[in-house]
Amino acid sequence: MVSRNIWVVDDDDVDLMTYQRTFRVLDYKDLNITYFKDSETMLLALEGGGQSPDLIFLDLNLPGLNGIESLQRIRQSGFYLPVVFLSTSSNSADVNVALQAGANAYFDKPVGFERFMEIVRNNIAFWFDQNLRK
Amino acid sequence: MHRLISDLADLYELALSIGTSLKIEQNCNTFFKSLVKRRNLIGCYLWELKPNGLDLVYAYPEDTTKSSIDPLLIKSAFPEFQLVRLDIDMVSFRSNDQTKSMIWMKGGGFYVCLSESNAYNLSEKDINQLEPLLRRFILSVKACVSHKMLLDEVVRRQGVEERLYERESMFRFGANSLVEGIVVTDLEDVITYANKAMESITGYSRNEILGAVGYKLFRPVGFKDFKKEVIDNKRKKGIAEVYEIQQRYPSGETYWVRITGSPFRDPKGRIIGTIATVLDISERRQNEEMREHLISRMEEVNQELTNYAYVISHDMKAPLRAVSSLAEWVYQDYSEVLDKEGKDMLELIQKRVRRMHKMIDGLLTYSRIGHDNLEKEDIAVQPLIEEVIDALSQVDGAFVCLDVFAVTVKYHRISLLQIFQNLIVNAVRYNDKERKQVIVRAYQTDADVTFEISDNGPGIKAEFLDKIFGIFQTLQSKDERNSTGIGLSIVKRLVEVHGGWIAVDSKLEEGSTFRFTIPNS
Repeated sequence: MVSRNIWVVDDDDVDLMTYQRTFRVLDYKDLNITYFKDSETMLLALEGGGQSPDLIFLDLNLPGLNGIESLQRIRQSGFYLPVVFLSTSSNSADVNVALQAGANAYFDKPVGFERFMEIVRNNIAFWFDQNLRK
Repeated sequence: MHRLISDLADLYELALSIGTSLKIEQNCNTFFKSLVKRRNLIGCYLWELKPNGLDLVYAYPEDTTKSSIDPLLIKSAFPEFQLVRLDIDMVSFRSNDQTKSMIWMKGGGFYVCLSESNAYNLSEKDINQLEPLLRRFILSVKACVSHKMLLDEVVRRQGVEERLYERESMFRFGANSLVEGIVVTDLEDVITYANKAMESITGYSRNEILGAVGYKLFRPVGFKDFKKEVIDNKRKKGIAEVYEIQQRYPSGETYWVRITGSPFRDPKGRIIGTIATVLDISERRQNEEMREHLISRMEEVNQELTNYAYVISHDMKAPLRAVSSLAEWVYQDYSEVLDKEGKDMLELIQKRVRRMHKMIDGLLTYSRIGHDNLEKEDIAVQPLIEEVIDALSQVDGAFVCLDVFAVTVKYHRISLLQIFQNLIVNAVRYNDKERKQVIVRAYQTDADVTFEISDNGPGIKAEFLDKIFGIFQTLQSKDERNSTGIGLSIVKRLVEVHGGWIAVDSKLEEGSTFRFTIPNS
């Protein structure tokens, strides 16, 4: 089984904890998760070569480059991997801008851990086109 | 004969001196009077030759019966005389009794007649001798007469000028009482006339204005070459126009004027400049600018508020989610060490978080109303309300009666859903009766449709009736009903944004009735 790389970009500690807890509960094998607290660090890692991700979960409001700007950079640099927004903003304008910039999906961060976990699980199932081995 | 010649020579000198005098009328009288008296004449007449005969210009003594005469008709006018000689410019008569002679001389359109007593019994030879003298005499009389006519003309014109002056005074008075400025310029834009209002409009005195070049003095804004753009391209081509421009006060500050400029023509119709009225519209323009500024500022503020709501939704929800997650994890991870009270507290945290979340969502919804494009469609009201009721578990067990028949409205579908949903849920949720009852009625007129949602609940105290549409306003403890207090304020916005109104009336213990309208147009 090929191992997959998932990158998570979020500046909120509790949200990062939520991701960590989610992946701990889902307990997928062959899944490497890398966390970034800002998009500049993530872009450096991406453009610097090395292991590139298979899926990115991106927050919209980030310190420095925001989610949409960093998505534009990702696309400009020629990376066409799936990028999924998970953000608090349900502003329809933000959603449209994100989709136009080349986002593959856009989700509201839900209140409640169960729903958050479900969103992450569904995305992994959809983009990797299979249920990862537990 | 010699006496006559010397007399005529005297008279000739007299006539010349009279001719230089301005008091013609009086001097003519003196002249002819002395002539008649000294020569014992029957009178002295001066006729002007007209195409249809002769007009009496002057007569001494005054004799109006001979006011018009033809030389060939003189005979009939003076029946006692007979024609002695008829030349082109001289006619002489002699009285039948041979005692009197009349000589008519024609000169420059006039005939002069010297009627003689028989003291001068003139032979034809005498007349021939007299002729050159008479001619000179006629010339001098003519000079007198033309001088008098000139003077009359002067007097007549003076009258005209007085009237003109009168009219001009009236014009000046009128022009100077106007609020509008009036200005006349020549083809170089040199100002030849300006009324009083021009002083207050432009800030220059009339001394400064008159003779100045208009565009150099008033410095209109927005012309590269005023002379070419306005005078050459417009006025000289006969074009009149109305335009609003900014000009400058002596201080350099600008003000707005509305100028109605037309070509100014001389009596022959040639364009010799511009005549323009100038109206100070600074105040109006200022008001307009202020209004535009206020509107754009309001739009900005509105946009800011909308953006603000989004920021709130993001920034306020983030910590809420964190609190919710953390409380959940504490509950899960430490359930062994938590007693029941501790777990209850964590549940209360979750409940409050959910309410806060709803409030933020409500606030966002509220702030979005009117900003999103609310496209209208034809909606059959009854199926819509049934849909609302089916979707609401809160309404279970209540008796909802629909009396809306086949009413259809043109409205934004989601807005109408939200309105009915809020009002019906409220009618049931706060209902304290065992048999909860809600009646929905519709009244359609040409202008609008009024909906009525009545319940048999506890009613609302009169002092709260005004408050219930206020944002975050609840009448009971929020915990008791788990409500946010934003529902009715959203309903009110949704109704008002489409031009309708909403009101409530209520009787304690009997129930409340909410009414709202949807305008037809």
